[in-house]
Amino acid sequence: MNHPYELLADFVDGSLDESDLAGVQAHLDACPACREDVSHASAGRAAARSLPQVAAPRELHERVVVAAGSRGQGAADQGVPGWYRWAGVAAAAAVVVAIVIALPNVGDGGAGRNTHEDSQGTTAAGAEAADAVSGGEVEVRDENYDAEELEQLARAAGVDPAEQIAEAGATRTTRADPAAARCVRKAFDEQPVGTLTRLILATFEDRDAYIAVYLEGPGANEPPDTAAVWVAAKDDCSILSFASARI
Amino acid sequence: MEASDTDAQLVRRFQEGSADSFEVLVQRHSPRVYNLCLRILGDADEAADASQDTFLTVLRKLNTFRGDSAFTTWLHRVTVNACYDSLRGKRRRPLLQIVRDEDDERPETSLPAPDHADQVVFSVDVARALLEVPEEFRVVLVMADVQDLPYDEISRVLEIPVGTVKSRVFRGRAALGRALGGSRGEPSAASRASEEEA
Repeated sequence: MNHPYELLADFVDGSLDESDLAGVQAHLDACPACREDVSHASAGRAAARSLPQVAAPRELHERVVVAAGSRGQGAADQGVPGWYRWAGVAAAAAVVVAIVIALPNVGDGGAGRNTHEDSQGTTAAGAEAADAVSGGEVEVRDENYDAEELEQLARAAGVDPAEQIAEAGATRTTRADPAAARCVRKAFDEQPVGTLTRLILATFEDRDAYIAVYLEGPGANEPPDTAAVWVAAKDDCSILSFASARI
Repeated sequence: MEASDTDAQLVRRFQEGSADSFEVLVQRHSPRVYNLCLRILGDADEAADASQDTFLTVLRKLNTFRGDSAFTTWLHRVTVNACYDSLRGKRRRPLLQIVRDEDDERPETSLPAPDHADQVVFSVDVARALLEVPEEFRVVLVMADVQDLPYDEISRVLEIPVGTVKSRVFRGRAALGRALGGSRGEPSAASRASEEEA
């Protein structure tokens, strides 16, 4: 027996043409399996239509931008327009993550340094760490970071910088590296102001990289509530990756 | 850049060098893309990954999109392909085993929580039951009844006849209803036909 599934879909929808109704009804009278299917299909239709629409992850655009940018020199070959790697990252930073970045003052000895730290709620320890970073000090870590570890770094940014430094203990090595400041400044040129709290020299997915950690608060002396971690390639200062976390 | 710009206008502006227009497209369509992926794949993380892959593909191909079909038709096609890619990866493990593993380890965490407890329980049941619907039926069922796409639009997206769309929707609905209510008596005509096709 042939079963008229196409017409049964309309039957369950209640949109079956009058001209087809009698034929479908006759089939159902003679076919118990289809009668049972219609019963199940009616229940299935109602159940599927009851499913709620779920909000998409807020960071979806940011993830797309980072994934496109992380393809590096091959991005153009993959079809992503070269200009998008830069403009898209700026868009992700400005709109999706709402993170503001203070790179013009990194490594310039304090000239042009962010004057909004208090209004952004930076702690005293955070200000001290920011002073060290803006003075050109880079934390050298013998680690090969990946995307997951970047997220951990962002989440850990909520911990007081002094505690982070203590946690790093004897393994923590710092050195003056004006090139780091220049490289990071080049990678994020023309970006707006924020508070840089850590600048790390390590590797990201086997590539030498500078990892910059920023804190952003809502203002009005409220404490920082978001951390952003940006990764720039050490050799050409291109943006390699990004992570953010509410802290 | 206006939020009221049409998709076609945004696509054209992207092709002229406006990065903002792509972001507007993502913001506008990410709920639809994500929900389609979520209901086909049944896992929030996998849905997020498939959504990311979808928009990455769109980003790579948008410069050469000619607009022969509507942007949304093309976007749905890319989304379904991303979901099939994800399912192919998942097929290395039995689908029902994945559901059981989730039952054991994280009963409801992979599905976002709606407002009311009863609705939560029912929605989780439905979402899990969807995973028991054969993939070729599940995809059209989700497009028709969750996304509320017209049959002719699904036909254009999947490039199959409208009659085939309706047939798969009916079988998918029957399979979902059966998965929710439990099998009673003899196998149905639709499930027998499904087994014969397999």
